[in-house]
Amino acid sequence: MSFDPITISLLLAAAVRLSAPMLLASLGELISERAGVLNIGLEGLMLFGAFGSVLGLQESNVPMIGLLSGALWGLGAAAILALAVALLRADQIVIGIGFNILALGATSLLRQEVLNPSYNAPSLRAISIYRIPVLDHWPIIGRAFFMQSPVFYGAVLLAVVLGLMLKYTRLGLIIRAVGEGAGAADAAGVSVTALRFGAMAFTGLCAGLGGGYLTIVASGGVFVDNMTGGRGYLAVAVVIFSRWRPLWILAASILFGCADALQYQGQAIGLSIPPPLLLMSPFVLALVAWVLMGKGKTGPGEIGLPFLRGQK
Amino acid sequence: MPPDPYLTLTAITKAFTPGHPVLDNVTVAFRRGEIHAILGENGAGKSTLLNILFGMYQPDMGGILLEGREVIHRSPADAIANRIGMVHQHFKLVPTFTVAENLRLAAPPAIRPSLARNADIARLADSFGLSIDPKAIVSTLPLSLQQRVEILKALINKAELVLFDEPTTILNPAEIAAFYKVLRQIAAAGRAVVVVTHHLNEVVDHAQHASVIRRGKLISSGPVAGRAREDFVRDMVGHEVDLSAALDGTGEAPGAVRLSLQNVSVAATPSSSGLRDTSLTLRAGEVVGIAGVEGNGQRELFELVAGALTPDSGTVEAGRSHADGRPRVGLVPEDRHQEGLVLDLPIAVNLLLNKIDEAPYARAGRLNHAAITARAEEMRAASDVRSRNVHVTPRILSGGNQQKIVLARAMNEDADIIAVYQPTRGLDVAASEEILRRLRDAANGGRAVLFISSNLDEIMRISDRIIIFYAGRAVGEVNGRASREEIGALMTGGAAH
Ligand SMILES: Nc1ncnc2c1ncn2[C@@H]1O[C@H](COP(=O)(O)OP(=O)(O)OP(=O)(O)O)[C@@H](O)[C@H]1O
Ligand SMILES: [Mg+2]
Repeated sequence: MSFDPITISLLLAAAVRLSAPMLLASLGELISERAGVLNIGLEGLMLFGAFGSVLGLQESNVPMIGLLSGALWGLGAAAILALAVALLRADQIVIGIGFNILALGATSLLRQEVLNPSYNAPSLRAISIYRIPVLDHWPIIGRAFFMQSPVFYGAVLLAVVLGLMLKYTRLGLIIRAVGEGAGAADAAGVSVTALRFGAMAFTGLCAGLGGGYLTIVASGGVFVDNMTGGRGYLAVAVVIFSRWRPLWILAASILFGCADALQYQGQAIGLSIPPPLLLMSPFVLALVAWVLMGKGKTGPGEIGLPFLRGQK
Repeated sequence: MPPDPYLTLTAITKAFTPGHPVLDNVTVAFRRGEIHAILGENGAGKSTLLNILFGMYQPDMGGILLEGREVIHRSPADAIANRIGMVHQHFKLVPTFTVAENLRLAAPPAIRPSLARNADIARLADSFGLSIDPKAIVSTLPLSLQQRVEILKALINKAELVLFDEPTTILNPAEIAAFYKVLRQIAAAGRAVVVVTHHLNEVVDHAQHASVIRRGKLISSGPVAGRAREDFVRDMVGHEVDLSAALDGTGEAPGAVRLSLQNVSVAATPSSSGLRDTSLTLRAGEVVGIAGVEGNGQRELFELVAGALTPDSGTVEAGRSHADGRPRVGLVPEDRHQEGLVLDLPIAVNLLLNKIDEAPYARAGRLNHAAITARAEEMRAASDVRSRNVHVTPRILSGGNQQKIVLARAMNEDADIIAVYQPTRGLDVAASEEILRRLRDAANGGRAVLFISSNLDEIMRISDRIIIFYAGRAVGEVNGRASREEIGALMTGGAAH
């Protein structure tokens, strides 16, 4: 096993690269959860996004349009989910899990029916790597943070923007109010239903883009069944472990990315830890951190509860 | 000739369960420049009426006329757009938000700039005589301060018609006076005010118009001038109620010590003084009233007695204790929603919550639902809880009826001590009298009653001894016949003599 700077730099770069789907999905989930919806359907949303992006890519041959198509597929799928959860007030967990199973079957079927198995993707380099001049030459972290896909930079920016939005803007105030006290928000004239619908749609957009990144940036434009492999569920956990704070989500996602990267590259550097153990490790870390931090904020007070007006 | 109404509710009918109308053909008109009181027993339908006006519920029949034109309120947003504001009986506050965030959340666009800085909010609150710390997290505030926030929310928003659903239940006399002063200013500025209250003095002193609802029907609606408290009570209940019946003790000297707190101290919090080296004894057969401005140690006192808090120093000793060491006390906590009830479990379970693991309600770990239901039905009838049966949840009951459940359970506790905190909060006059009567009877029958309240009149009527709390200390003790002035001076930290 070698720990020279180059290996570490490469490993870190791979970790950051693999963290982007998690980051995007978690940021989307964050908004749903802050608005009081525990959106378990995240896994399914990512999967639809992953499929949609490959479809878009095959139809247009333009990687950018592929990503966009992934985001839109996520959005469309989220609209269906939100219809059940926000509008019809169905149980969020049951619907979410059902939705994930549906997504798995539906994308598999669609792959067989509409995707071209022998499709040759155009060059994905432009969308995969953008060097930020000068900074990318920093030792060790230069490669990891400044030679990434533009989508990753966008996601980091999004984390910052969401953090500021939640804290300093009226929209943020309203989103938090709907999650912490839907009755109070309603009495203040906020439409809880519309806001939760919007939050879930945003989640769909982000998760769809995350799925698109997974196929187009990280897997060369190929869709395989169940290719999210539980990342959606992990992203839900990331949000909770990060205690609903965007910058912590960024950090946690990179941590998961490390585990992911070690899974693929561990062997190459002579590390022989079984992959499942690796994937588990961030959770163990998070659990320890959580216990050490003690009980503080426990998350949006009304998460998971459907809103019915007129309850005392 | 009175001016044309600003807003009229016309022939409102509403039933939550078919065939049992909660409101039956109710028509009332609110005028600019007037304080309009709405009176009625617990469960009469007052909150439902206001909630319909505010868009929380849709009426089955009837409608809303705003300056003569028909409007429909599908949601609170519609009502707010029509410049209506509401103070809810059960506060609509986000518990994890600060006071400032709650006020900003509810503010319409025109008002928001004036709430941008916390200092502005504090100044505004002061100008209404309802001072508050804008940075305080709402859930950490005592209920009386939460009520202030809820009221401030409506006052700041400058609505043309403001609805207050029992705004003064736990405010102290000074706060109530400040509150009505603001209401008179609002009315004088040509806006309309509606107040639901059970405090008839407030109606006689401050309202110009009063409407009485009894079991969903409008009984009377007219000017207050020339009407006395007794007239309103007759309209509300349908018969006479003696509002000043004596609540006297047996005349015998109090018996054995049931509860004794020796030199207890509890740390202060931002909204409370905590307790500082305070002692108190409670004897069989007496009612001890605790008077004081909220936040001077009452909550800590109650929690010590309930065994929910251990003092930083000093001792709490009760005649009888639970297995886990908590004093055995029948408890009526202040916040019925958070501490008094499990809102989503049936009334029967709530009534017997303190006994549910004992025979005959449970045997060998199995609940005996027949026994639970039978006993609960008995208790419900005895306490006049108005609900269809004991299987519905307290969530759908009116506030006063929820309170009766908490009281019934406390009285049913197998204990020599009863500790009550704001026991008549939200109860109508007849029900309040009934509760006071029952607490007095419990004391006369040999129990010891600790009576903590912000309602000085009640304390003075029922107590054998009144202990005044100020800054976490018992600063004075007077007997039940002391004057208001004497007690009032002690409450604000003045000397007794
Ligand atoms: N959401 C609901 N579902 C079913 N019944 C309800 C609901 N809300 C209120 N009720 C019933 O309607 C009746 C009137 O309730 P309301 O809250 O209007 O009474 P109130 O006059 O405000 O009484 P209080 O003085 O105790 O607050 C009560 O019998 C109550 O049980
Ligand atoms: Mg009411």
